[in-house]
Amino acid sequence: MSFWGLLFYVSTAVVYIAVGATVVGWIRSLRSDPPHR
Amino acid sequence: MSLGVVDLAILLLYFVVVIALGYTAMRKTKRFDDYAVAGRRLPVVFLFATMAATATGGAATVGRASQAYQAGIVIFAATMGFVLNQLLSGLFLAPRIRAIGKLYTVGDVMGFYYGRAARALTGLLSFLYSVTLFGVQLLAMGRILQTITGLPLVPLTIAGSIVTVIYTGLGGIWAVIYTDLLQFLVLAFGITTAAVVAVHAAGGVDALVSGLDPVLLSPAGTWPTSQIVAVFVAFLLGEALAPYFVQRYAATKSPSDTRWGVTLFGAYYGFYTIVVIALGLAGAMLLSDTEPDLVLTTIVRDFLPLGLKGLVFAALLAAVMSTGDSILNNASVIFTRDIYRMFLRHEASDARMLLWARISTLAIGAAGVAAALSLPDVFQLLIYTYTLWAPSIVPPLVVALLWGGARQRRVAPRAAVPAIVAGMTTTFLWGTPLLGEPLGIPPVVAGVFANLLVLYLAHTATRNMAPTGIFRAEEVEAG
Repeated sequence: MSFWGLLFYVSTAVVYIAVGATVVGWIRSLRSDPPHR
Repeated sequence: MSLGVVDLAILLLYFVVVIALGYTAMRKTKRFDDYAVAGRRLPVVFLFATMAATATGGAATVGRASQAYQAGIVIFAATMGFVLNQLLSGLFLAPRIRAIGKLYTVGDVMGFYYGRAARALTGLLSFLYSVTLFGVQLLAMGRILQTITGLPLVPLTIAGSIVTVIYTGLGGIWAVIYTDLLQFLVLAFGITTAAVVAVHAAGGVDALVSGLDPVLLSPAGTWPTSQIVAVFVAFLLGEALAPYFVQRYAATKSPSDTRWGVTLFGAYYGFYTIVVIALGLAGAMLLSDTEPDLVLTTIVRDFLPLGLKGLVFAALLAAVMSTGDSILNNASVIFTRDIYRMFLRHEASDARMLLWARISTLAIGAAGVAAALSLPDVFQLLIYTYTLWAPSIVPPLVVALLWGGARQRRVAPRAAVPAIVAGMTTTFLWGTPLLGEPLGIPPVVAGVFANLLVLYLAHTATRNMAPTGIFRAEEVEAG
């Protein structure tokens, strides 16, 4: 894979990982800190 | 550009979800602390997402893809100014701000180091900064809604603004954070998927690289060095320690959480920018005669499947709304803390502060819509306050934070006000026809230097004077 290809796919992977980590963090926070308390 | 029924339904559903989140957040908002700084229990991941959503408005998505389409990867070098700004803020400034104690606004930080005079000046400037940017975001929101639905601008701007004001007024910063989270997830996922689909449609990365005009892939593009430097500096300084970011730094459980949230966001933003630029470059190959500002929306419309298309359009609208709501909430907190409490009712109870935060949200929301729609000249003048932020407030703030940290006050309290005034005046005069930007130095850079010079001189001249009256540093409750 070329430099440009690597750069593009690493960047998309970082964004997808950030999205996944945020979803996990949100779910964990809902468990530990329910909004209706 | 118009959407099908399914996509419009998704867009409408988004408005309903946002109001519902505002209502949920309202049940969580019992005190002014909840309204302004999320009760200081914002998790790292929420800080990260709310920073990302606030920084990713219309300019960072539609605007960036449009710039890449026209100028190529040179825009990446310029945008690095913002990434550097966030990384440095995350590592060195934001955690110190959180470590000072129970702060809410930039005015509070300035009051801690320089006393009431500097706080009042900062409060006023940051209020103008936020109100102005709010108006800009409202107009951008109206334009995006207009592009998507094909309906007229004014009623759409008013409708979008009413929704924004309702949920922000109800739920305060929790409502802003929940909608930020939603927007961040949908937009980051949607835009990245659109980029992957578009690059694939262009034949893959290697085919794209060999098929594009080489100038688009040249690090300097067609820009002269002076333009690259000017844009880099604008990105580096424009939103440095912006009032809505400082409010978020103060909302976490600890300085360490603030450091992680902001630094991770800074790093993330670099990668996200690469994805958006790739989308713009794929647009340059796939769409030859498109208006640059429509590149991103056209790719989303033509290449994404039904449903996901509506979701991304909702997220684009949300990108602008979530920047607007953050600024609206910030302006109301600045008003309540730095204007109402300081000048009108010093001993205001918590319940009264919360009430005034809500009232001012409604008032600023209404005033923002009125100003954006009916007073374009006044509005242009107000936009100027945005330019004045970096050369006025940022230098004394950064020097105090770096030199003394969160515990010591090393800069003479009397030095801040003359430095702020010198920075603002120099920036203003530097760009006028009278001076005409000597040596090609941008006004903001000249202003920052003037500010630092006067800060140093005034510090040297007054450091042995006892701080009294309006220069006496304010105490901040620990926590």
